[in-house]
Amino acid sequence: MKPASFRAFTLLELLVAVTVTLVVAGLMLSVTSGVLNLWRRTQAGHTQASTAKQVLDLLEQDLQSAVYRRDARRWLAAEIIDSPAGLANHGWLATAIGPMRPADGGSLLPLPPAGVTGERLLLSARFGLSGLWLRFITTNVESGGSLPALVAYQMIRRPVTGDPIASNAAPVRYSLYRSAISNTDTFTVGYDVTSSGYASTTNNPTSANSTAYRAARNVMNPSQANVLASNVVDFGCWLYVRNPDGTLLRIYPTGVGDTSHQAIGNSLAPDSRYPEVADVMVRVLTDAGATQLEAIELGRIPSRPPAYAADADWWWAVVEANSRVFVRRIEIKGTAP
Amino acid sequence: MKTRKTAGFALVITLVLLALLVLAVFALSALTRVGSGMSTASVYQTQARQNALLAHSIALGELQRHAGDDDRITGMAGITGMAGNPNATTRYWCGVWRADGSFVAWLTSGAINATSAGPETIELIGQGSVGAASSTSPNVEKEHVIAGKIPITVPDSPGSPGLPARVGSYAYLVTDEGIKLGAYAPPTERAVPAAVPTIGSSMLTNQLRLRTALETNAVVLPSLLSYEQMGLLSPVTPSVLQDCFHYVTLTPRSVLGAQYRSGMININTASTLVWRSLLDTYNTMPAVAPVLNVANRGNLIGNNFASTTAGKAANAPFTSVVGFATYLATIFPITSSPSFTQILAALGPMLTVRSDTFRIRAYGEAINPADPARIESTAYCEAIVQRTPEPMPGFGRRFVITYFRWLGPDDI
Repeated sequence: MKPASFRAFTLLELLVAVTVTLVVAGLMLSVTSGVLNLWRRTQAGHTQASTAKQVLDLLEQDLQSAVYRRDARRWLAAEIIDSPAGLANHGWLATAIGPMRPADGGSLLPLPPAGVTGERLLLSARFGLSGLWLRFITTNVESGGSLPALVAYQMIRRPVTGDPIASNAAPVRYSLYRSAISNTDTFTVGYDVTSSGYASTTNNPTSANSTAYRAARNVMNPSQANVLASNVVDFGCWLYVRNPDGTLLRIYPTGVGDTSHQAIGNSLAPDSRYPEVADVMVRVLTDAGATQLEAIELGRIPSRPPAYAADADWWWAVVEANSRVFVRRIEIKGTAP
Repeated sequence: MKTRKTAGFALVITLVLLALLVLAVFALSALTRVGSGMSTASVYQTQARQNALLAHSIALGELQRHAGDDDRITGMAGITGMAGNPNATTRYWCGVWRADGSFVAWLTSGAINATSAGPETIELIGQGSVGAASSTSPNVEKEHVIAGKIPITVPDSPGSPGLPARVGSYAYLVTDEGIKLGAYAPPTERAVPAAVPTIGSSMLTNQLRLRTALETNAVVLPSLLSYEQMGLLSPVTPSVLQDCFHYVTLTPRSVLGAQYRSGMININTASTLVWRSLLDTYNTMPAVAPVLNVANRGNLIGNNFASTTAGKAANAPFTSVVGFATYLATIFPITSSPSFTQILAALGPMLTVRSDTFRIRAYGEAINPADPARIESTAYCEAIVQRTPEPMPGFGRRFVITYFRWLGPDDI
């Protein structure tokens, strides 16, 4: 008889050992996978919140310092561009193989219907194909002296680098851009934010390495260097003035499909008054959601799931499942003497 | 022997797995620490900004409370007898007096008297605004201006349960823009259509540079939104704006009844260069007997302003332009040419004894309650505020903010 230390395992022992190992490994895999998923979700939520905070903090700083004077100029403009043709020269990639952000009314809901409580919620608003293109004169804080400058915010769908219509484009993302025009150009071109001097005549944005990121044309077509936050799939705001009793009167949007508000310095009419308060919203997508959306827009998921009646429903369902909306109320401090 | 080797192998495997586990936990914890650190920094930044806005609101409230009534007098602290020098860090404080000349308040946080803002102070007008204070001379006033820091405490904090903890501070400063020369006076609002108080030829090199810029860029002056924007006009350089900060502002407006008036100036200033400019302004008016030796006469008015008892109490403001006439008569007697009556006949409509345009600078800081000596974040903001004809029940006329901005380090 061999000593115990040289005896081989029996078949039963091996089977038991393998089974126990598989059960333990399976449990560990399940726990690890759960923890990693939780970690990923937490990280995604943290990233979304950080992105939104960065956007809203800067927007708050800009809007608090917004300035106007009582004259016939348009000191602030908020505009939804709801057709691909209207986005020519904004640096937009307004075409896709698959369904992209719906245009022509598919996303146009700046003033959503009232909910069960009778309230309309900015959280549920959708700001058309382009999101809101917001432009105003403010003081841009910068080294060497903080002076009045035109600042423009707009959401753009474009490759993260390069020409939007390049044949071999970089990954396409929806991002929020903030263009702070140089104080000299602002002074030269003027404070009318709708001036043709701030228009772009090409759709090709300047590269991130270019020094031309504070030029007048960046109001319409931001440079790649003007990107403020990636994976922003909607951006908009509601604007208010104060009634004599201190309550707020919404001056934009005034109707379900209101696409524009141009604030004229000396106007007292609600549809063109300069606002005193703004509620701002930004919808931020997770990285996983952005990847999924890109796959849909590039046609890698060839057919629409039958649960959705239209591409617009599908696109918004994916966005809503993978995004969060952040809102903030901001008071514009200054008024015109 | 072989049995021992097998047991050793199992130990090694166990240790390696444990090490991997520890490494994973450490990596996760490091990531969490970084995320948490970023969040904390962001919270401190927000707190500092909120504290600055708090200071700004308190300043605006104090201004409304003390200077809202029509019969209040305002002026710079220099008229209480403080000579200009690099250490006179309170000389440009703004004071408020009643119509009888009795003192009401300094519009500065922590102000104990005309020369002290308490034990903890901060410069709210500093290098970025006026350059180095050490270049102060009898002719070029570049004093930095301070305000007292007011601590913000909470009843307790996680670090010190049950004990009050300091979580931040705020400070504010209100300066009087009406004692300065206006760079631009809208023609439709002018008190005297033919002339406004402007930078005079007896000013110094950098002030004259600004005057040249204003004259050659007259067409674009209505488009200016702030004093600092004058830096965009050729040949203005940062040092030009710094040398003019205490003398020149963009557009001070006075409220007369229900109307704004520009082209006026508050006489409660001890700034000699402003007085020289006023005499220069007089000399530019049509058909007047000119003042000779403007620099000497202007210096005389400014330097003796505080101590004179002609038309006012010593170290106090003039409460009326009539009172100022008494003082002016000591320098331009009725027998001289020009006499004080001639000067006042020309300049009188543009003189006032209070201001309606002010600059507020506010500061906020966030402090780590566990380490009160450590300032985690700071924020500065500035507003130009204007008294309006609109009444504010119980507080005179309403002040509004006409220009607000956050300040970077170079702006202070």
